[in-house]
Amino acid sequence: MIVRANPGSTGVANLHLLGAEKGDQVRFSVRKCSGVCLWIALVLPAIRAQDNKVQDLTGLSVEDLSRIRLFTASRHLDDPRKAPSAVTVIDGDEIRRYGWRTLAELLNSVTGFYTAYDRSYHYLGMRGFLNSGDYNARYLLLIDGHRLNENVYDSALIGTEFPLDISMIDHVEILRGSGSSLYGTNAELAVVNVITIRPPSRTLIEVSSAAQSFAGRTGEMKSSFHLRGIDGVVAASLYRSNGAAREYYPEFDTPETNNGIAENIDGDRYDHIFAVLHKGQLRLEGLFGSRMKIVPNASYGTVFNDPSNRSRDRRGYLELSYNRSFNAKTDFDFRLYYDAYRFWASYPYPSGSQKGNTDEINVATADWIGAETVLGRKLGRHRIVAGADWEHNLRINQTSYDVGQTPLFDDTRNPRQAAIFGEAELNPASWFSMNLGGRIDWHSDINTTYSPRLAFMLLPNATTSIKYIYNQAFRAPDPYDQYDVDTAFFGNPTLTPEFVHSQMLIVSHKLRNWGQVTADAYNNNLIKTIEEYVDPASGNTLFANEEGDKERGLELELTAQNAAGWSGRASYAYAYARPKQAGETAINSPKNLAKLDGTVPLFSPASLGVELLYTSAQQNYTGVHVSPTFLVNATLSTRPIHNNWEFSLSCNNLFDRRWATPTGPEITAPATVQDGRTVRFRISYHWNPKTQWSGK
Amino acid sequence: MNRHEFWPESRRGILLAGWSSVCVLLLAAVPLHLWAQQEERAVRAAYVYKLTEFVSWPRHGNELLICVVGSDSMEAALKSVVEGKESSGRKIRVLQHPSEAELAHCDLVYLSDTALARGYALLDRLQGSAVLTVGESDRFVRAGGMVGLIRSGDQIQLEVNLDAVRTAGLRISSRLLQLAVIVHSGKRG
Repeated sequence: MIVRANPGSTGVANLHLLGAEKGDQVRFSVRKCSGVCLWIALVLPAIRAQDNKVQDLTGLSVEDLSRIRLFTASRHLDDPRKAPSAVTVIDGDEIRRYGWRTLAELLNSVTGFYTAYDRSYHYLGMRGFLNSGDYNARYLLLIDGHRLNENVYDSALIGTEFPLDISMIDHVEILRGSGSSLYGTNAELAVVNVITIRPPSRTLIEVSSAAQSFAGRTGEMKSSFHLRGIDGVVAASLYRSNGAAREYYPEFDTPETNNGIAENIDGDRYDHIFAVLHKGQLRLEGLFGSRMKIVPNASYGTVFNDPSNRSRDRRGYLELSYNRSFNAKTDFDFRLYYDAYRFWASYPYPSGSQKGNTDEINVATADWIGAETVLGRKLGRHRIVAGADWEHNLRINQTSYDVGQTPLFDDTRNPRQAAIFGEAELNPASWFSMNLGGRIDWHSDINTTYSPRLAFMLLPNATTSIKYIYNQAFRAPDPYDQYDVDTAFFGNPTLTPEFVHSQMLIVSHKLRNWGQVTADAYNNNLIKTIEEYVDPASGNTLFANEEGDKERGLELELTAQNAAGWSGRASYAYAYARPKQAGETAINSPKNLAKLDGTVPLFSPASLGVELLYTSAQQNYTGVHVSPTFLVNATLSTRPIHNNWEFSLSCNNLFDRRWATPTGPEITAPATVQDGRTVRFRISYHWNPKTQWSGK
Repeated sequence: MNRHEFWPESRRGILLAGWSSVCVLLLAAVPLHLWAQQEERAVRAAYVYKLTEFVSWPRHGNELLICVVGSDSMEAALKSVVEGKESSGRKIRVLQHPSEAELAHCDLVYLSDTALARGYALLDRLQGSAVLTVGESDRFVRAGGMVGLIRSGDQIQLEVNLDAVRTAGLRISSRLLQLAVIVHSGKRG
């Protein structure tokens, strides 16, 4: 999402379909494999499992019962103990208690994760790997199981650019480790599945507003209803922030560039709409988010202190899904969706002879439709899941032009992809479980990929689990990597998918009823990573498959809570990343991360949530040292008082520490200075018509 | 790295076949026993038990009789989970396909969706008597049933027809109502 004008370059994207001859051979073996998958799907359900015993859940409270998720064919977590990855689940209550404003802030509190912000986008790092040029394409981001990474840049938007309001989140499942065996491309390092609030069982209208530093303000409205058998939630929210009135960028400190002062150009805004309707087994979900950011740091060599340097991301989807249980053991899930993504950005460049600047506009437009079906079946104590995906891009268009001129580039593609996947969770004994899975992805422009997974789990007792997991995951090159979009950004149509081979050992132990401790060790081998680099001769940005990194590390996590409302999550992560290319050192790769999130109950409805976040020193891509950071955030929040009013006061960077996160080549400075102390006050009003009359 | 490069074509088929046979053998070799997971019947049965705790009947004996109409599998679930348990000092017994005479002694009647047509007739018959009627669909609750345990997505949602409950002289705890959708009787459809 870029661009710098470099007049004179022509260059028409040289597209060809890769592996046309190879394809026939591949398909041959693939046919065999799909035969096997079909066999599993069709024949195994016929095996009669003789079970008539039903689990006794009467010991649960009725509130817990109302929260239970039934066995479904979906690929969501079923039993976290048997999940073939390291799992952290953050629930909506924590979002309230710690006052997170964006998904990026939430993820920054999670074991092993860290984030960077270049005043345009938020980048996610994990296990010593953060690449600002990839727009988080190595992570798979899902909303209710629906893929959010779009089809142009594969970006996973996590900051204010995330198209869903964070208060709409019921919980977030974070699976550290690869997930391509079920989800396909992008699920290389982690899978983040955001689950939205269920239509609550009662009519509820909630209105919230917040005011924060830099004239930031938000307004949110959500309403849930139950009408003639239809449960629904409809929500809308908006955010506006002026940003700091004056920001100093020493790298631009010359009289011609306003002495390095960027005036009133750090504004940020979003608008979101979200709706979900349930009727029986049918579910319709729709989302639209638009976010506009003014870029204050003259990225991509643009003119400094020009408010026309800005970018806008719009993302939306509409998904119809049908979930049906044929009997207590077989479950079927079908989804049909339409997705859209629109990117628009304006980059001011000096226009040479004339006065003023010329704005170069970059536009990316993508529309795609797809279907997905998953069949889940319990076979005695085992569980199998088999499914297929299909996706067709109606168009992926990348255009760039100078305002008032004919397009410099205009490239349209419509690739297709399809996949089959399967997973078997075998539980031969109560203390041993095995997970075998795999996925085959076909793509019209890219070689077929295979993503196997193998996991062994020992469950010696009800409180301990030991897991070994082997995964192979991939990231397919995206149209932005593959095709020329600008006179200075040249795609590379010969790129091949990059892979990661990962091994993980996880030990988890439940501590009576008050906590859980999890430790994991991993070894990731990234192969043929797709990276952008600047050609020193021409100054152009190019893409290539590079050798990749090796990453090793340890992660420790302790969670604890008690009935009185005290709770906490502490984590430490050590990561050692090493590029395979001789003589290079890992970039954007802090070795140590330590985090503590704790909640202290105060008087009855109020609690205090405190976050301590430590990130050790890192180096940016040019080898510049970026200092370690230690941040303290605090939030004072209440539960709804008299079922109506809810308040929250948060302070991020409580001690006003100066800190920065490393940046990529698109930014002049080696690191971007982050906000100092910021404050937010939020107030919500819940209106619940039922409580008013059922009390009679 | 592309798979082609390190899996020669000839071996890929063998590996795939091997992988799938291991998978299939393991599936076949292991005794197919019961699988304890949060399946729908277990949740429904637990809800029925909770209902007996959160509903108070105007008069009652030492036994709480749950009658199941329509579904054998729900009867099995209830028999295995709630039969013999005590609820507010009453011992629970589960009875399937109650006869006309037995119906008069039921405290709770569970109607599965498969017996919906019969259910409406039953609702008419039970009109006014202190029997808690529990069904599986929204239609059932709107037709005058008292409690619906309705599948909504991957959850079971509780619906209560408060008018019907009150008419029958039953009382239902507000703790349960907090979690429920309150619906009103409408036309049968």
